[in-house]
Amino acid sequence: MYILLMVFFFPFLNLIGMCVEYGDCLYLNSLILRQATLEHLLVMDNSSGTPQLTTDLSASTDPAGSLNTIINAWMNGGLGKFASSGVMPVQTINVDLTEGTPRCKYVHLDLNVECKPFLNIPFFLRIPGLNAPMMFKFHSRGVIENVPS
Amino acid sequence: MTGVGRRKSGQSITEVVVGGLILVPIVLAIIDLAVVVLGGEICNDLAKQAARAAANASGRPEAVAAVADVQTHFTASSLYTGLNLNLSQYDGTPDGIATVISSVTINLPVAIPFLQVGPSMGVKSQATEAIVGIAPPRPVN
Repeated sequence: MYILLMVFFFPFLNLIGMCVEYGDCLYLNSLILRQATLEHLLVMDNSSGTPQLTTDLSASTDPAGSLNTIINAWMNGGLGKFASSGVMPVQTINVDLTEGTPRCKYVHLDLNVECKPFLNIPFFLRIPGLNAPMMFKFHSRGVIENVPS
Repeated sequence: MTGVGRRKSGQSITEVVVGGLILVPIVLAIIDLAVVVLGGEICNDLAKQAARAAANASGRPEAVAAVADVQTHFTASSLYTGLNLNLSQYDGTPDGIATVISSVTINLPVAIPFLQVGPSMGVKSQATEAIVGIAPPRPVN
């Protein structure tokens, strides 16, 4: 019974818990990506001769920007308290102006979330997800809704 | 070892084996289920992204190129292969819609013997977006 509990039951329970935490982080990723696609990330620069698109990533880089606001709200809510190890998730976005068509541009989002293990299984080695925090890394892209023309 | 002690250790082994026979397939099925759910999510997300990209286009050729661009950027893994995005409807009018049908083949990491699911299965998804890339005509005064 001891072997059954320590080798199968609790690690399996932990695995299921980590899957739920992954889904939790995936939800955060979708929230941030959705917000990023709605931001005015592209600006038509008319200062030089030919008007050209430039990027404005202040929504991501500003600590009080909309993307960090979403992360703060997630951290302070139940979902963040359930999954996060306490370390602030880190998001970065970038826009490749050579990608897509003139009317369709994409925003790329990188999100790193450190999650605590669902259960701390006593084990002599520190294994991420079993008895040590585990990092989930998300890379996603979305179509920018407001492209200036 | 006495007869009682041998019977107890035999009982423990039997419990571990029977418990394992129940627990291991359940966990493997959960892993398969997670892979299928993620595959469905990927398929749905790509259909939406392609439909949104097509809706931004000003004409059918540009819409087809936008859908192809989404398909090109999909990174296939051993679990998710054979992505196909098809622009099934593009009205080409300011009040029209763009519809994309996507399909992905999911290769299950563990084939479940009793459920007769796998080793691979296909998922399909469809997404529709209102066309925003074509400006409506100027109002007549």
